[in-house]
Amino acid sequence: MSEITYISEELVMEGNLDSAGSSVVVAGRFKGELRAKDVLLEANSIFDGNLVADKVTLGGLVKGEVAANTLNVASSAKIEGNLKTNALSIDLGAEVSGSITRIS
Amino acid sequence: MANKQAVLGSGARFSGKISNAKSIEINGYVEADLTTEKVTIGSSGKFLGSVDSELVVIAGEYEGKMQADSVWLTETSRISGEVHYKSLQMDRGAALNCRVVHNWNETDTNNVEETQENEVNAQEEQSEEK
Repeated sequence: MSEITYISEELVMEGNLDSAGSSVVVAGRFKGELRAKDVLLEANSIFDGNLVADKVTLGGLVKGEVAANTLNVASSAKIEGNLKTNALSIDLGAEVSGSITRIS
Repeated sequence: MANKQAVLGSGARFSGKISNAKSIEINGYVEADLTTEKVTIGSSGKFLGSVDSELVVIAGEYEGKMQADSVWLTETSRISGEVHYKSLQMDRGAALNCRVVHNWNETDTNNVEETQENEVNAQEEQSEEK
């Protein structure tokens, strides 16, 4: 198993991150394309772009498209964009605006 | 949480821009220009692009132009491009195929007389050919 990728609080990354076999945790900012097995966007993170992963937890500010087999939207999340998922949970308090569709 | 260090995992590939980094460890493949305080390129890591950092530790592969106060190249490191440094440590086995320039004072960067320039081809590369 390869280790996780951690984008720390102060860090700003812009571009294309492909981490197909492993997990990515974003506590800072990420803009662009993100592909991984598991993704956690922490409470104060900012994400802008396309996210594709098997399992995703959204906790921060999200703009763009998220496609995940299993998707959890935490109460701290603010989302503006399109969510594609087969299994969805949204915690009370999360702000979601956009479309939610199934992947099939 | 603020002290948690940024890491790029060994299976990950990133290309783009990295900014505002304090300390970052790279174990995957990165194509970027990086300005930071401390960067570590792990033995499975490969970095392409420029680095401007106070401390650079390389155990993996690096290609690009590096400007650093302290550079430590471990025995598994492979470097090509250009290294500008104030203090340099190189372990036996480090493979350099690059220009190495010593700057003991930033203002001397463009002063040819006050810089030492060395073309270094590490022993490892030569011994590999034998």
